[in-house]
Amino acid sequence: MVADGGLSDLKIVELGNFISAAFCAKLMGDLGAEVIKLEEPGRGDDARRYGPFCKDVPDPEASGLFLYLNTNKLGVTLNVKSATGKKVLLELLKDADIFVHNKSPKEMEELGLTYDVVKEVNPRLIMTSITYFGQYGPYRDYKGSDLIALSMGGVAYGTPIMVEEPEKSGPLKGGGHQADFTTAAAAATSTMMAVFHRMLTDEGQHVDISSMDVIAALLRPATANYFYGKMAGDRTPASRTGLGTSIYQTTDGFASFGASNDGHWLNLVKAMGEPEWATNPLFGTREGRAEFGDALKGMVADWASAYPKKELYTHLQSHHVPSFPVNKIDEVVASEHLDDRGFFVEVDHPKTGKVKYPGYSARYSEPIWGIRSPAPFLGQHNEEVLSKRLGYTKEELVQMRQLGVI
Amino acid sequence: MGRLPLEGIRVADFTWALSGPYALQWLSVMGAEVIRIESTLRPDILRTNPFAATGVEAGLNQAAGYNCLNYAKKGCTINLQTAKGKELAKRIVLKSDVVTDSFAHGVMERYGLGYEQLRKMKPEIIVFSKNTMGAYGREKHLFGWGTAVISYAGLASITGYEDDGLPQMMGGTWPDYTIGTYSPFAILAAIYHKKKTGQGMYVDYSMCEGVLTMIPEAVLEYTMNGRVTGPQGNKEELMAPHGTYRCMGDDKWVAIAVASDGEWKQLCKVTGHDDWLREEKYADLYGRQTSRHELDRLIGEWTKERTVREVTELLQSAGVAAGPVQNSDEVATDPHLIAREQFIEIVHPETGSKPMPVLPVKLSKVPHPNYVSAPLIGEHNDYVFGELLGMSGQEIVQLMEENVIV
Repeated sequence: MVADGGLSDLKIVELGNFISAAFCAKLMGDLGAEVIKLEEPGRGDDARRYGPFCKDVPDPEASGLFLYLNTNKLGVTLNVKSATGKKVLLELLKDADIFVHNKSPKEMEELGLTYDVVKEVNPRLIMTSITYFGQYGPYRDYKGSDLIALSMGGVAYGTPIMVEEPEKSGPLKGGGHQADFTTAAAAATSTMMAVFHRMLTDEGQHVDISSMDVIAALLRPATANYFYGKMAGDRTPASRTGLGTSIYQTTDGFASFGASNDGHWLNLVKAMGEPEWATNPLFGTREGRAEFGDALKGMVADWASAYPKKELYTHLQSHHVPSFPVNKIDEVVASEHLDDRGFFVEVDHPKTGKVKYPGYSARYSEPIWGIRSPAPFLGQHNEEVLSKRLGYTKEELVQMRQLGVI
Repeated sequence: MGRLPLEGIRVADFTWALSGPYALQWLSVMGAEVIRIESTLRPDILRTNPFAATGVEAGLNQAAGYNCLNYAKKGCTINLQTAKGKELAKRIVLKSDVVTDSFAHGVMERYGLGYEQLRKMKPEIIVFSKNTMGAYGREKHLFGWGTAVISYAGLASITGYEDDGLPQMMGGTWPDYTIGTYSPFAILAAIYHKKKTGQGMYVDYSMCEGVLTMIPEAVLEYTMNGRVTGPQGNKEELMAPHGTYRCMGDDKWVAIAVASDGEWKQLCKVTGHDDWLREEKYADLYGRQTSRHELDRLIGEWTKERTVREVTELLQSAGVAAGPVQNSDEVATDPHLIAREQFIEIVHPETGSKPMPVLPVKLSKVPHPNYVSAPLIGEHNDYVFGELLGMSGQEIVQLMEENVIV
C-alpha cells in the first residue's frame, strides 16, 4: 500500500449500525481511509448479533456479517446519549473529514447531532446521513427496512421477474440485503462528490441519502417510460414477451440465458441445431417471438433440460448467446475464474482464524486497495483513540468506563 | 449557480446500454464533461428502444430509456471501424482525464485504446473498463446482460421462494443500476488518487464481483460453516413477521417488517388482535420466527380486507415499518419522491419537457447539479471535433463524407 495513495488522507468517523453506514465506511477504509467506528457500550452494532456465526457459536465477536463490514476500522465504544459521550464525539469530528451515520432524523435531533451542530464544530466536515426516507418529505419519520425500501422503491414488485399466479405469489426482496448495500454504495459515491467539492471550495456539507430514493432511481427507464406515456406491465408471464434472460433447468442445476435481439436469436437457433426456426413464420420475427413467446420458451426449456449446465452455457457462449451458469454459493466460492483474479481474500481474525471474504469489485493497477486489519473487538481501540489522539488520561478512561460513557 | 464537484474533469465514454451510462451519469450531473463516443452505424441499443415519446417510428433521439440515462452528457459520432475514426477517438482520449468502456474483452485494444497503449502516450490517464467478468481470469470472455450476471455471482440462487427452492432473477433489471450506483465510487477513488499523486491507473471492474461484495452473509455462511444458503423468500433473521401481504385490489401488496417485541405488541394493538398478543409463542422473536408461516397467514387474512394505504398508515402511526409494494407507475407518482424532487422536468429538443428521474442524492452545497437533456445523436460533433480537437469545418465535412464522422 502506498502511503499517500488511494483515500489514505481521509479520516472518517462512523456512527453506524448494521449495514448501510458500515459498508459505506468500509468501501473508503479498504481504499486507505482511516475509519473510527463508534458503537454502543456493552451492546455494540446489531450486525454482531446477526450472523452467520463462525462454527455456529453466536459470539458477537464472530459474526460473519460484522467481520466483513468492519475491516480496516478502529473500534471505539461511546455512549453518544451521555453529555460526555457527545462531547467526545464532537472532539473526534473536529479532526475528521467525513462523518457517516445511519440514524433517523428524529434520533439525531434528540441526540443534538444535526448538521447545524456539527458544522459549527468543523465547517469542513462532510456529514453523510443515510436513512430509509431522507431528511425531509412526508415519509421522513416512517420506519423502514431493506424489504420496505425495495418495496416502496419498486424493485420487490418485479421480484421474481414473473409469477404464474400473482394472487398467490407475493413480491420478494432479493437475497441478503440488496437495498442496504446499494444505499451504502450510493452514499460512498455521493460522499466522494462532497470530497471533490471540498477540494474546490474548502467547505464541508450535508449529504442526504435515502434508501427509497436510491432504489426508486434504479427503475429509471421504467419511470421515464411512465412520463413518456407507457404504463408498467403486470407480473404475469404474458407481460414478459419474447426471449429475455430467463433461468432454465438443466440436468444438474440451472443456467440463465436469453436471446432478446435478432442477432442473439439467430445464434440461439444455430446453437440449438434448429436453424429453420429462424425462418419459421410463427417466430422468425421479433413480433412473432413476442406473440408465441410462451410456446417458444417451452421448446427452448425442453432443449436446455437435456444438458448439464456447464456444457450448456459453454456451448451457448461459443455460439455467442449470452449465457451463464446459475451458481450456488459453494460453486461461486470455488470458481476458478474468481480464483485467477484473486477475488476472495483470506482475512485472519483471532476469533475465527483465516476466513475467505469477498474482496472488491475493482482491481486497480496501483496497490490502493487492501485489508490491513480485521474488524475490531468491541471497544478494542478505546485507549488508542481516546488517549493517544484526544489526550484523555488512563484515569479518565477508567472513570468513563465506570460511568458507561465508553 | 455555484461550482460543481467534478468541474474540469473530462471523460471519454465508450460505455453503452444500462449500467455504464448510469455510472457515468453520476459524474456528468456532478460537473464532469462526459463525452459519449457513439455512431449512427451502431447506435446505443437504448436509442433504438421501440417505445418512444411519439409512440411511432421515432429515430434515435426519442427513447425514454436513453434520454433518462444520458442527460448531462455530450455526444459525438465516430465510425471506429475506420483508421481515421480510431485516430479521432484517440485524440479525444488524449484530451481526457478518464476513459470508460464496457466492451467485450480486447475491443479497446483493437481500437488502439487499451490501457497499455494509452499510458505510453499519457501516463496519467485513468482507464475504467467494466465487464461482466472482469479483464482477466479464465472466464473473462463470458458475455451477457447484467441480469444474467447475478446467476454466476450466486445472488439468483439465494433469491426466490423458500418452498420451491427455485433460483430467481430480481426486478429492475438487477444488478445493472446497482452497479451503476456502485461503480462510480471506484472511478472517483482513482481520480482522487490521481489528484493527490499525479498517477493514473487501470481500473478493471467486474460486475459479477460487484454483486458478490453485496452478499457477504451467504458467502461467509459457506466459507465459515460450509453451509449453502438457498432461496430465502422474505425471511429476515432478526425480524418476524416480515414479508409482503395481499391487500384489497388487483395484485396489491403491503410490506411489513416487525423488528422488536415492542413493535409486535403495537401491531397486535392497532390491528385489534388481542388474541395474537396473548399467544405466548408469538411473544418473542424466536417464537415468531419459528411460527412465521402461521403468522404470515394470519396477517395476510387481516391485510386482505384493507387497502395498502390503510395498512401502511395504521402500522406506521404505531411505529411499525410498513409500506406499499409499488410498481414503476406508482413509484413515478409517489408523493414522497415528488416532495423530494426525485423527478424533474428536463426540456429535450425533440420530445419537449418531460419529468426525468434524477440522481438519488441531496448535496446541501450543490443545489443545482447539471440537469440538461441527453445528447441528440452527434449533437456535439462541432464542439468535439471543432473546438476540442481544433479541426476546421472543412476537415469535419470531409470526414463526414468519408463516413468517419457518422
